[in-house]
Amino acid sequence: MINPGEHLRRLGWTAAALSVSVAPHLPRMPAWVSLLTLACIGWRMLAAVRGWKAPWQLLRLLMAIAGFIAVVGTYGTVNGIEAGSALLVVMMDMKLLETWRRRDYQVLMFISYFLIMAQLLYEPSMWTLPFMIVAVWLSTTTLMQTVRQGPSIPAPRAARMVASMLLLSLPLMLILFLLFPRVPGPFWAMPTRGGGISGLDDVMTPGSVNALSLSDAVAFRASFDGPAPPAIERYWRGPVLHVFDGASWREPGSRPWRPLEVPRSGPQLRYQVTLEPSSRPWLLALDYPGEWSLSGAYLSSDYQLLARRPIEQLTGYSVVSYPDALAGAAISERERAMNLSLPAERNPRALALAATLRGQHSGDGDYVQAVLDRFTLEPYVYTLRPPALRGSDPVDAFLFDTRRGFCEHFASAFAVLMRAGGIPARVVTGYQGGELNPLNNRMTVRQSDAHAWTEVWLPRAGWVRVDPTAAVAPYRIERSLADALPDSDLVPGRFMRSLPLLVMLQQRWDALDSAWNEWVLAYGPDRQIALLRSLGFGNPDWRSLTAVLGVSVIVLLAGVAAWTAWRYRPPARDQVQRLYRRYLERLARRGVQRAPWEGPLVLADRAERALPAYAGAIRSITRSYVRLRYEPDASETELLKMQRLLRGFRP
Amino acid sequence: MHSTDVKTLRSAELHDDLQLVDRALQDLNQIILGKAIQVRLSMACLLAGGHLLIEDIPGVGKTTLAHALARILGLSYQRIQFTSDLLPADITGVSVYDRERSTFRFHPGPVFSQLVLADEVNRATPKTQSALLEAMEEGQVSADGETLPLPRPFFVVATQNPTYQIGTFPLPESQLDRFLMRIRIGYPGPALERELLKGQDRRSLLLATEPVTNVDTLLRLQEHVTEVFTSEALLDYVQALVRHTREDADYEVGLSPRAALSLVHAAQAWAMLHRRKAVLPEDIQAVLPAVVGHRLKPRQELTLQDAEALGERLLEAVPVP
Repeated sequence: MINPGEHLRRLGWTAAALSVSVAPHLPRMPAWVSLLTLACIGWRMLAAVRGWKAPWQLLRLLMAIAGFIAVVGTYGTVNGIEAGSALLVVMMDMKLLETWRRRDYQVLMFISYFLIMAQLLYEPSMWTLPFMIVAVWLSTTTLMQTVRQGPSIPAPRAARMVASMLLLSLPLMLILFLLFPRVPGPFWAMPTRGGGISGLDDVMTPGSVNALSLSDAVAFRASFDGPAPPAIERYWRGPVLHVFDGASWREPGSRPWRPLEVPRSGPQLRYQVTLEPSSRPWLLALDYPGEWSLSGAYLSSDYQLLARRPIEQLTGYSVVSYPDALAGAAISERERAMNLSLPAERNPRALALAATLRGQHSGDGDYVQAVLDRFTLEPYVYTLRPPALRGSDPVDAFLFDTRRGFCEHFASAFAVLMRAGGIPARVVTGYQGGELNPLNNRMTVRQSDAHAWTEVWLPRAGWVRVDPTAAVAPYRIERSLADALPDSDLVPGRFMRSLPLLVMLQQRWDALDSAWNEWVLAYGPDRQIALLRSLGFGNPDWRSLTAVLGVSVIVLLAGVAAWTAWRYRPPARDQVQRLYRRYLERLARRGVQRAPWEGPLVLADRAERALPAYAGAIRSITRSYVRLRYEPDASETELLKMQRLLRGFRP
Repeated sequence: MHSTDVKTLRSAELHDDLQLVDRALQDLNQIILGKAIQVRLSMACLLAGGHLLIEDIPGVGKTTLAHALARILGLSYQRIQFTSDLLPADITGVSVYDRERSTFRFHPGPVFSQLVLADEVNRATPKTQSALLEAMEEGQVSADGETLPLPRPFFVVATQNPTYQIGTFPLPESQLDRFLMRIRIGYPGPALERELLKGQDRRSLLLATEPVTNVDTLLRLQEHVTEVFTSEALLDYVQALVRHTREDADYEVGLSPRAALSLVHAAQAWAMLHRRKAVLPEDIQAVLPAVVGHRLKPRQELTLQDAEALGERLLEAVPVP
């Protein structure tokens, strides 16, 4: 039996905790969910004030079924993050209607914890952390207040108690976070959420890359062992596009040619990448990746590093690249044919130009240079806002009419001219450059660094990277997009870069975000294994992980138990008496002599009347003494408190 | 059913129960004017599950106190006026021949109540007295070979006129020991007596009062009394007190172990009334005169007043360790 006032207090706590946990979910859900939640919280409070009983069981059951149907009706399913969390909220509302006993309050708080965790599925960024801390704090306080027997604790004290409880559980949380075995693969992976995929695409049409260049979003971060290569060598390889239909470039439906030999020669580049989720299997890497840490990842025949599944969560991996390796010393006839094919009767002026130039330059190298020279010498303009290319021959339109384009225009036109000249060529998309944060030595590569370039195949040299954009706008490659574009073009970050304070703040934030990504979000099986290896395990697997976990938890708990036993050991009785005698001496000095038969309370009454200025201290010391001497389970802490009180007691 | 109630008793419920007790004490003090200590001692005695002996001259409100306790605590109540011709069966009940069923049937006596007021217990003969005292001790009544349990809680308030009055049989020491406490009420102060004279008749005031607690509450609280903590330090003090009565020349007989146990038990109830979770020396001191007054036999024949002063003297003689 809980009395009504107490009941109302408990409900108040519960309503507050649930409101905080549910609040970030509601804007994503249809309005009826919010209205239902408000109505249920309101009804339950009113019921407590008026002393109403719970609705009939049958009515509650019908309402729960109706709620379920409403969720299915809204989302078409109860699977997936959106529908699942909506169902959770609706069932929480239903539970509120029958919350009368302790057990119900407990269930409500567990739902609250689930809601808090569900928020992580949407927003795993560092911004969520303060919200999580506050919400967990509030829910735990509510849990304590609602399920404890006896009257509730004053709110500030309860909040303090829970804060210290949460802090105390931090070491255990860290151990579990670091060592609980994580299964690679889809077990932990979240179901895909529909909606816009931002980032690179597997089709390149004029305008598709420069749409990205306005996005400030982080694509991935990288940190190099040793100095980072200069910007001009930082070509992060993404999808390689072979098939040209006259306007757009795409990946081949299948790559039928022989599996690739991993080139391993020349200087190495070692680096770690923390890749943001892209819903694509592409793992960005510098040319040419030779070794990598992510299990299951493989190299495609055109040197793109690919994961087995689309990347749905922040993923960390390390790569060793061999930039000077010879790629594709010999290519098959099929590959050669594919990389020479051009759609007939498309872009005739380009084909004519190629024929003319090829006539003047018989050597392959001379021809490549001649085409590049044309981009440099003719008045081509690199711009973020190229005019639209109309008609069925966009390459012709760009080369001869508009002459204004972004990287994909140049890459596309260059590859067409190469193929027309009989040189196998393909378009490579990916990212170029990246910004080094001096605070943590991490390189941040953003969507605005998206880029397209070309590769041509030359006998004996294999596939050679040629970036026509570099010929037109060398600053784009050497520095950044903002430096390459005229001031009239809006480029993310340009305004910011003009203010040093903002630059510094931005770098700080970037470093923090990167640390969060690397150590919290991308902390997966690979990092766990690496941690164990650094602890001296030769060949760690999940078994050793479990063993280390078990031992760590046992050691921690044993330590806590030992500390608790020591801290709360019963104080020696004579020690208490000695302290009390000191108190009596000090009272006697001020003329308050204890009669032998006087108990502590009687003496305190008399002493308070005699020394009203010290009434508070006398009361506290007496309370402490009574607790130590006469009450059960007095602790060492109380003794320390009495000592402290006595130090301050100098009447 | 009661045992599970007691098991689930926790601090919140205890808090509520004690609040009811506070209200009961308030109401009692409205009826018994100016005797807060005696009222509180009676309550402690009841909560400790002991019986109470009120010893004083007629007309100071002994009966009113007993009746008020029963009414405010919601207990069934019977008053037995002890006279020199009262027989044991008048208390415990009689077996009467049932003509229809051709058997003897037991008619329970007035002792089958939760609160029994034995008024002027020292006016009856020792035989009758012992019938009541046996019932108090055993918690049951044996009649015609049958044993009938008395109700729970079972609380006897006996009143006694001071022994120097004519026509009385004073209770022997062994019988006095059955009472956890003996209190006296004493004359009211002049101002309160004036109020008494001007005010309403006490009995009609009493009949107008509503019960504040019920039997379940009392049983829960009685159970909790035994859980009030007694520390080693406190038991040191109790033993020092007891040892003093056994060694000092002032006393003919010292306090028995049962008396020491009663002292602790009464002090636990007192501490609970003050919402303490442990017994303090002050609790012992508060209940000691009432608990030991009728158990201590002073060396010389002393009056009642002196006997209670004996308790005070004992307290002053033994330092709190």
